[in-house]
Amino acid sequence: MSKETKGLSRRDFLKGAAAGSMSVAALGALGGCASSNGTESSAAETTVVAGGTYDVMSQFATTGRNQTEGVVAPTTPEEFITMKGDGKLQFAPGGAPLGITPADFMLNVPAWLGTAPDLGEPAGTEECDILVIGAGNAGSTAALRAQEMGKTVFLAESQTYDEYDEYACDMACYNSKLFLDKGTPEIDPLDIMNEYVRKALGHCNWKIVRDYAFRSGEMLDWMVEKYIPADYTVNYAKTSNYKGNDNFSGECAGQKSFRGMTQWRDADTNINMWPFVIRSLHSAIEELGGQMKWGYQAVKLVQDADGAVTGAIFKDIDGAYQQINAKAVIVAAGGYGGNADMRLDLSDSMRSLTWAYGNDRTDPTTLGGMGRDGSGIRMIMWTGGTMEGGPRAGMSIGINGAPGFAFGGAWPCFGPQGKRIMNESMCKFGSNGYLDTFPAGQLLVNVTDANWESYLSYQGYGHETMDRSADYMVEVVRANMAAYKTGADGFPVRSFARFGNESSTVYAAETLDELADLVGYTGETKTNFLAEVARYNELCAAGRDEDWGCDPQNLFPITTAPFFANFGTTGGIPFNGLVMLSGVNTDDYYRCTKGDKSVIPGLYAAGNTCGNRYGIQYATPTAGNSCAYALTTGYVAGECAANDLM
Amino acid sequence: MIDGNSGAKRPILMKLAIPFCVKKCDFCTRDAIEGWDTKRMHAYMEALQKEILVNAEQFSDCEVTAIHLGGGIASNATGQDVSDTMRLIRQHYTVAEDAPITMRAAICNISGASMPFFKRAGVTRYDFEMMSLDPVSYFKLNKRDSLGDFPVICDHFLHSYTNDTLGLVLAVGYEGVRDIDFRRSVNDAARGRMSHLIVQRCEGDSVVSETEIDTQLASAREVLTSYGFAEYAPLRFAKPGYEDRYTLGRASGMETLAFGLGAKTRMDGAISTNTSDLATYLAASDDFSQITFSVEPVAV
Repeated sequence: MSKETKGLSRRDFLKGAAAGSMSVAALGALGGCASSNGTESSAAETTVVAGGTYDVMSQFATTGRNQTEGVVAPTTPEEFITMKGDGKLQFAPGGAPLGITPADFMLNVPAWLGTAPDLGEPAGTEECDILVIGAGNAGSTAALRAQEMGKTVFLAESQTYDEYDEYACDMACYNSKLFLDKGTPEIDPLDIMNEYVRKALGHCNWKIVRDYAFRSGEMLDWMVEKYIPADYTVNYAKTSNYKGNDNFSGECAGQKSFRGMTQWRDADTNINMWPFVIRSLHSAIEELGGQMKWGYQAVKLVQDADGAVTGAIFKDIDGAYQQINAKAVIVAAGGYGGNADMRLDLSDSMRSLTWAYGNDRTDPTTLGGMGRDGSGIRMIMWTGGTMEGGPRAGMSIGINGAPGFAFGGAWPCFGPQGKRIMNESMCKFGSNGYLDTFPAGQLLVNVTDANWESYLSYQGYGHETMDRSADYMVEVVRANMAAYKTGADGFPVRSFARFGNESSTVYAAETLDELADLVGYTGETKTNFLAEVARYNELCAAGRDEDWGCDPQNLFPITTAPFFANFGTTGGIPFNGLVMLSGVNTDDYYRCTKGDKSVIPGLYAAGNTCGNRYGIQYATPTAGNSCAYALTTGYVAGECAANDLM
Repeated sequence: MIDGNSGAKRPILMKLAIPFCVKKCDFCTRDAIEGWDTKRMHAYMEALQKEILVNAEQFSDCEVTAIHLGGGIASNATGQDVSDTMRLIRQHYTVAEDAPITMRAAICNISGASMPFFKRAGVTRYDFEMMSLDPVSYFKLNKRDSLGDFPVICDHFLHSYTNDTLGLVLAVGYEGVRDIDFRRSVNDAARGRMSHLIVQRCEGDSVVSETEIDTQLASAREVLTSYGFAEYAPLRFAKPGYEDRYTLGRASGMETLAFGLGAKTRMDGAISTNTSDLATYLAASDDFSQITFSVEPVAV
């Protein structure tokens, strides 16, 4: 790379130009210069880059016959059977071949996959029994479990120790002593397992689902009792799921929900403490003789001549390549939500929904995702691993609370014409597909009244309710609502339709008429809205929603001032959730498999790298199951890898 | 002495033009590299790094007191590329320890894949081009991000309740956006964790009258003032102490070293403008004679 051009530097030119002794023409004289006439094209311009014997058909269907040369419709059942059995495909006139080939729409090797880079000789090589890639939830439990089982474990993380952060908050673990000791009833894990398998429409690895249903509580107790300092648990573990929903029956719209969600939050600041508390596991790994490899970004896996995975090569914080050899490698590097190219290809359900709005099919930014970079999945596929089949689960379709928002209480919802449009108690089980049949930008108004807190007590354990896992959080919501202000500016309420510390704007009015004005219902839609509220109240009194089927426990009249509303809209860019929940194929023991379902020796996957947990879509029988699934798969995968080395 | 400058060297500003935009909005006239092309964006960032490196020795007498990554949605670049670029700058330029690094960004780019690297890059201020926070006008003004993602990004990734990283860009004057919609958007922003705000005037054919814009801006100023924001530069608002040092420096005529497509360096009494031709820039970013479009004295 040259640092100067013909003896003159950019700085020389700047000074020369200022003195009037040099101009852009002089640059041209040097043989360079982008333009000597002062005009050039813009970036945008240049980067354009034994049946019956009667002939019923002859009796009744007599029109339109003999219109297609060479094609005759059957007129008797016998003819129909005979013609269907001739093995010929019949093309209707409009079914002419389009002249396309599979390669026009389907690639055997997706562009995002690429190939494993050739890195040459590494700067250093180390050895261990089990190498775990990724110090998030799954990687941390995998490494610690394997280490305590007597294996020497290295846990590699791309972030440095000081940079380290992770993004989990809620964790749903069932039948943990943390809950049982507080009086939470024990749940039959078979009910849990079967509910998750139902939600996946069976499109999942049932053994992995079983591990989660039966062992997530065990895993949480293992962390808490052995590795997390007791004061952290006392101070931060909020095990309620949620506060203030004591009247919820546990089943809504025919679907089950279970208690079991823990949030690790500081009461004074409401800060999510789990990214700090999880460091306890890292410390424990080191205390037990394992090693943390901070600032180690996995680049590719190492295989022997037989295809067994024997280690991985990392890029360290200084850019040097380091190899770690191991008898087993567990990849827990997260999903692919942060890789736009992979998201566009693999997140098929959400992609189809956003495309249905006519969005640009080449624009992955309209298909959000907040997860990791997909490097773990790519590395596994380079060794012969395979991606689970679709439709692949993201996080959004099964997470909705208030229509038009990602989270929040499930309040009666009124659509663009001022009329209810759905079963609000069903929306947590998936409303994106339905709501996205509406034109974009249509008003969705959620309405409640002075009895909002009473109504909230009947809402469930998923994300169809306000995020309020501790008494202090309930107090904040209560205080916000008590301090309501009427008027067009609204007032902020924590988590009314948002998550965590974020507030949402709620509008208040002393009459429904005023409320309609505030949210933008005018003319006929206002008339509709007021009539629809009256209709809704009649349904509530009857205890049966003949219109939309709202669960009777969630039918509460809107009668008592002040009245509250917030609103959202239908839209073409759906909330896509924190992570993508599809990953690579494994067997029952988290061993990565090839297309023929044979195992890749020495290679395991856990957390969001591991596929076949959710099948077609995420679901929240309990809020926080994604995070706890990651922790549990890591815990069990670490155990499986250690056992395989015994 | 300007804030952040040690006094031993000439304080300058630095701008990195990262002019990516998947699809331009009809109210925005900035010149950007459109479309999503991972390889092309990576190639551009490599070219940018070459230009930065080849110029380093010439500006050893300067100290960078604020850095701006913009000219488009800079966060479309991968976190790794942004991090590598910033590391290069710190290795080869004198950067004040407290130099704020501001990045024009979109929340759709914030993830567990990018955020660790943006953090490693030292980005301290995000200007998220949300354009609206009001649901009704949002879908008209933002075709890129999910409004539902916004609170999650703030809570989980920025931890904006504990720091001052969150800034927003809101659009004013778009046809079809009512005064109340804009006011609600500003209200929502001001009530949140935002510490600084840019109000961007819409341009193009779908713009309301100047009178209507003035009405909307007056409403915005009233709301923002009530929440403790001050307008420290035209259409730039911040809570006290959260003003953008780069913006203030530009307004005061500070010298600016700029790299990238179409970048304008203002230094030593002259303005040097880089080519806006992407192919030329990618091919010769390390040869200033090839990529310099014009060099002119600063008008007195």
